[in-house]
Amino acid sequence: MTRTSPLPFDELAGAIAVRRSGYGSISGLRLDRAAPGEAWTNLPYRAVFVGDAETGVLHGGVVTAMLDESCGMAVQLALDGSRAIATLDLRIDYQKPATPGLDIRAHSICARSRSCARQLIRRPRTIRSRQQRRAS
Amino acid sequence: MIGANRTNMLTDRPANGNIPPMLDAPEDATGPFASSPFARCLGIRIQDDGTLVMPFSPKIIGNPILPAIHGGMTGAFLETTAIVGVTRDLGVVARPKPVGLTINYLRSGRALDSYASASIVKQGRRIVAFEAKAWQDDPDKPIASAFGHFMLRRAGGGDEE
Repeated sequence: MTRTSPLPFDELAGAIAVRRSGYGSISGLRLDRAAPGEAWTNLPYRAVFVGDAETGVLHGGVVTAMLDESCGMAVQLALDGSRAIATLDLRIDYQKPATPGLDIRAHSICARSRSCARQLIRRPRTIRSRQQRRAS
Repeated sequence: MIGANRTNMLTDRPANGNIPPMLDAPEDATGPFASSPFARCLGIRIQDDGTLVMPFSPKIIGNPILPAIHGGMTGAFLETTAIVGVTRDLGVVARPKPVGLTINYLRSGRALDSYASASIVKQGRRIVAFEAKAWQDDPDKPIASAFGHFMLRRAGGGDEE
């Protein structure tokens, strides 16, 4: 596994916005806003995304890929940029068909990360400042 | 996508910085994906034995350093395979509507053509349960599997509850 030194959050968010998967970057997906473990993304509509030309509804795979990519961003934003990630499984519940012509937005949240805990252990300053806040 | 975690996309650089490919859908008015631009964009084809092929191409890459196929593209391929398989097996005209889908990523999709097949697990009156599998050079070593549900559209297009 390739390991590099940890990145400060702003640099990490900047790297995630630019250093992207092949499909992720050519699909036009943008990272609009980033917080630790959270990503807000936007996928502008494109005619090539259509899965059924009769209805104009997008191909499910477009949504699957966007969610995979956006969740990957949220997980990277929960880490420190020194580790690589991989998707192990993905469950999609389709709610409503996407309206043709409109962008799709996603808000993804990293629910749990063991590496986060390890990162905190490695950076006792973070823990200390939290404890101080709690004490005061 | 197990192999993907050996490289760090944020810091590693691809060996050759090629010009990124475009996403476009070649016209094919008579083919099986005449009304599915995204399936045409991915280059998906149906083979004589009923399995589907998604040729490897730069636009479906996820991790550019390995390179490995994007998990979302594998998901799109499995869903397309399921739509084709269910439509064919049931002989329905209207495209089934996807309700939900779970994908297990079993191996990293390498720079090879991918194949997939789908079968019906259970057919209800309105809901069909399916499973699908995608592999590359060895059918016994699938890169991903999926299961999910489709809602069948009634003839005439009225598919709302």
